[in-house]
Amino acid sequence: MTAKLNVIIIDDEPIVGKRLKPALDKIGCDVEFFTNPLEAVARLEEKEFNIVVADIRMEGMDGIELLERVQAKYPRTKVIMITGYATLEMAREAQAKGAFDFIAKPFKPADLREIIAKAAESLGVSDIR
Amino acid sequence: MSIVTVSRRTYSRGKEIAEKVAEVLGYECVGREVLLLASKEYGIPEERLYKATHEAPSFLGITPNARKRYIAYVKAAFAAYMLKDNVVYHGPAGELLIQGVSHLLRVRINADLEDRVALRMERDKITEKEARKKILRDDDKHGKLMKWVYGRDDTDAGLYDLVINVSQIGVDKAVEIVTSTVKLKKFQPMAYSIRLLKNIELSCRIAAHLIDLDPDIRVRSESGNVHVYAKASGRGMKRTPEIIKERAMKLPGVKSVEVHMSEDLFERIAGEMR
Repeated sequence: MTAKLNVIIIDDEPIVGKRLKPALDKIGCDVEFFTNPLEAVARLEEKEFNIVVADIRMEGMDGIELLERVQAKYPRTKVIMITGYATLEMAREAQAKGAFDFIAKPFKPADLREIIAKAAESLGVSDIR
Repeated sequence: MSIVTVSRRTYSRGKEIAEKVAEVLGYECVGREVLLLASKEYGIPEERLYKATHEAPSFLGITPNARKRYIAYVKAAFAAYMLKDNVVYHGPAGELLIQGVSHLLRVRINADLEDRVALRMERDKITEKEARKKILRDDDKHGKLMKWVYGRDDTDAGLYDLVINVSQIGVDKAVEIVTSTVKLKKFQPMAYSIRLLKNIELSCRIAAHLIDLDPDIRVRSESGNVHVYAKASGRGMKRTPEIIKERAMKLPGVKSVEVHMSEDLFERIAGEMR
């Protein structure tokens, strides 16, 4: 499968989108970025994304709740959780609730690209690198 | 693709359960191997490392600083083993040596005293009285070791993900519980837990290579960027950071080293009195 991968990034820190969007655009992803999780949820109501990258701690809605909503509506969507406050409990909760992967900030765009590639592979998209 | 640590007291069938879990999962079962690796890497006889990690401090035993050094070596070897993944560890303090890694399942095996006594009588061909006395003595020594050396009481259920009383559950069922728990999604490696384990392994390896400079040295690593916290006194305040940087930068995986020094006031006062 060589279709373009739709990715939505949700993080209340604008710098995250500023850094990650071009890095993912470069590997052929179609990326949308939101700083407001409620606006992101509204967008997710309209469109199914292949991959959701969401911060855990956000104003308005936390990433775990967002993960549950995405899982309920789009079971095939891969959700990657990111956080600056990673703990063992949080990692296990995210994993148990169906997160595809969990990564602690700070990370390099290349680290996320690697996880996106794995998620793409599990979705049957092989030309992401 | 996970790690299981099995903690237990003597004659609780913990080793037997660890071995069976490893067999079912196709994982490597390690205990003594960690000491052998540490012995090979750091040139300390295995027997000394065994004493440092298994025997409670005593007046004529290993000095506190030597014990700290040996434990740093064992910790580095343990972390290296854990990095290999697919490992079941049944040596001491696995749940304490590495903390915070989400794909590490920490299991505690308990057994009723009567069953432990019966097992010891059978294995060692001794009377009930002798077996009971030996088990209680071992428990007392082990409790002191955990408290003095690792600073924790390993009977605290809060240290584990799973606590099983094998006297009630049985060995086979215990194996089944452990093998099915480790397969749960929450115990699978993630980018976060793999990176954390890599950071821990590097920190432990660096600490083991620097521990002769300061027995209380602390190391924190993040993707190859290393922070070392050490103390020294007098001229050591200038020389020690240079040695730390020089030695640490030679180790594989190290990108940068920042040294944070504090003055060893005890050593300074002792020096002034000499």
